[in-house]
Amino acid sequence: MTGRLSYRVRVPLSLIATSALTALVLGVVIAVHTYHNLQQDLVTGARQLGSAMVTALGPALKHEDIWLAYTILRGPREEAGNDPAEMVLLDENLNVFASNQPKRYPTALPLARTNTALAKLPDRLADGLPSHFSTYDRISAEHLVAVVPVLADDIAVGVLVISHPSGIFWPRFWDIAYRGLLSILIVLVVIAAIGWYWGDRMVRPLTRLASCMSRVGQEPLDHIQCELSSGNDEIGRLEQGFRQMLNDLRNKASLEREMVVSERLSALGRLVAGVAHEINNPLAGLIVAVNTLKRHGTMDPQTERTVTLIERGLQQIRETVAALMVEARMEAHPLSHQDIDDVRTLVATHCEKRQVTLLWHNHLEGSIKLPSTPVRQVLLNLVLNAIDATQPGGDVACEVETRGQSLSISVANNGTPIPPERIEHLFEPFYSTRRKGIGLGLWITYQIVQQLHGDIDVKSNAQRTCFHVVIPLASTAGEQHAA
Amino acid sequence: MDFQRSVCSFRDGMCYCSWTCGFPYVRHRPALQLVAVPRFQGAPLYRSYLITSVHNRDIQSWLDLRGKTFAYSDPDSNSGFLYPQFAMQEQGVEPYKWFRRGFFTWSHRNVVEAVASGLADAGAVDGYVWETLTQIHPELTSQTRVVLKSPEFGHPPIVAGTRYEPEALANVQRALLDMERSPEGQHLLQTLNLDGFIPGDASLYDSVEHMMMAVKPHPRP
Repeated sequence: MTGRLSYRVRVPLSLIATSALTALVLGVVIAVHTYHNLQQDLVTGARQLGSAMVTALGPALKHEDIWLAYTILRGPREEAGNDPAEMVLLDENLNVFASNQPKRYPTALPLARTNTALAKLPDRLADGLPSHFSTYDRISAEHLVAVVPVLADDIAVGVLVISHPSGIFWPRFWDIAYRGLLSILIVLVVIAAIGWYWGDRMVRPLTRLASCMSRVGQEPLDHIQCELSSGNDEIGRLEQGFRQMLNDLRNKASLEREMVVSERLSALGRLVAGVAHEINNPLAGLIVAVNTLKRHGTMDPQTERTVTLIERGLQQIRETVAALMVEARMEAHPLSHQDIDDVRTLVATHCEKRQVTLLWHNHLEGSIKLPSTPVRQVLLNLVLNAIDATQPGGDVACEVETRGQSLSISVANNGTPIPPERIEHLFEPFYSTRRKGIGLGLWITYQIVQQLHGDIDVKSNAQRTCFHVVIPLASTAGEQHAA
Repeated sequence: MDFQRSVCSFRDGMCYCSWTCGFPYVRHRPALQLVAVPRFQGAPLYRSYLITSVHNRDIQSWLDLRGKTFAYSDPDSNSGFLYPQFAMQEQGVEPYKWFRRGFFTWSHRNVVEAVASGLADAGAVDGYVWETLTQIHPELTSQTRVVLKSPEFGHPPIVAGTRYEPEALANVQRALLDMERSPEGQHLLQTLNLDGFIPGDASLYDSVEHMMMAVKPHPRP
């Protein structure tokens, strides 16, 4: 049941429930205590009133002065009739001597014969008049009945009966209870407001996390950007865990994507190599046959033109296949600072023509154990591509350096970014968007880097597109290659 | 206005002149002399009233008071004690046996209050006091009903000791008699609900003396 409610509701509800329960328990304890106190007050009041009165009533009883007793019992004339307590003075025979309610308790009549609840009292006093203040229960449900003896020489010569309506403290009791209830309600309202605010504060990060989590699997991981706190409490730890999980998922997805691309490229490489090999064998025979035909055959001009056409076609097939069959020549001299700068010289005119600024950072020192020709071809391909992709007035930055046991080449430009769907197919052969070229530049570059046991990746955003190549130095690469 | 008619001890010489009831006057007649008698409703006379609660319809005569509680005003009062005892005796009953309980309230006004509150079923009160109370405290007298009115008696007189100097006595008497002729006096008389004062005559109180002789004294009311 409560599981369906939001914490935003449950927190204030729990607070209110706890406070209400506490208030209820406290309220009941205080109410019971107040009830007992008020009842005790009533008895104390009756005792004080009674003992004060019997002092004055003694002489009246002794001198049989009914009028004096009456005036004492009824109190000041202005208050006559307002006193809720009934007071009856009885003589030693339990006849009414006087009372403040003469119509209910007629003078000189036995109390037992009055038509009142107190008529039961004489039975309870049958064993003699009490010698001290006593209360009597079960005389009347609505009255506290107290009896005070009127003593003369320590002997009871009469008694004053005080019959106090026991409900007299109810208005006071309800007043106290009402005030208490009102205070509790005010406190509960305040607690509800605080609880609402608190619940909201507690639940906000949870709701954020929950809505963020629900997006996993619905949207691409890179689109999920959540504002998460980094507190040290349980929720903070939850959020940190979620963030960690999101990162892991992202890494896994990107790794999977890279693997797919790399597997596709290597399958493509094997296919190309197989096809090329199958083409090359008959092709070589065909070229030899055509050459032989041209050199030794006698052909009319028509046939000769046709044979020449076949020869050019076969040459084109051989070139294309050769281009696809990238073969890094490993026997070249070791790469030096100058080899890199040569590339700069090669592209300088092209840069000027395209009005592109070339920023060149060549940090190579001495010669390193990598074949110069394939590395230079990789660098050249990348720089030319970058220049072509840059608008006039743009920049191309090139940085070459050794990092530990590898060579790092970065070529960046600030041209039009490459859309993500193109990046996946960027290194495939014949994949070109440019009008000129056949789209083998990056395929060749990729193949060379692969053969050098290196990695190439590309990052592209609105500001910058950057190709980054890392090639391990030959001491380790050579061993791998040999193996 | 509370009529507290003190009976002073003239023999002690503490008091020379007093407004007292006809009963103590006749009882101590040899030691007292009459100064003036108030005129009430045109005559120097008043009555004793037997009153009961306005809700009590059962009591119509003295004999109906059997087993009832009864409020007297004062043992020294004619209208509040002497006459009711005499009247009961005339009916052939002894009051202290006839009543369930009789008691003194020590003033005529208290008799009215005792009857109104129900403390006493009936009571004997000075007619002049009751009539005066109907004017100043009608809420009190309206709770009571007059059952019987007694024959007329001499109104409670102003008396002086016999040792009082004649000239001074004459001055007091003249002041009382002339009261109704001055505005201040008239105002005072109005407050007292009286018409004025007359010199009066001792024979006014003969009927009181007759009752005093006839009533057998009893220690309990």
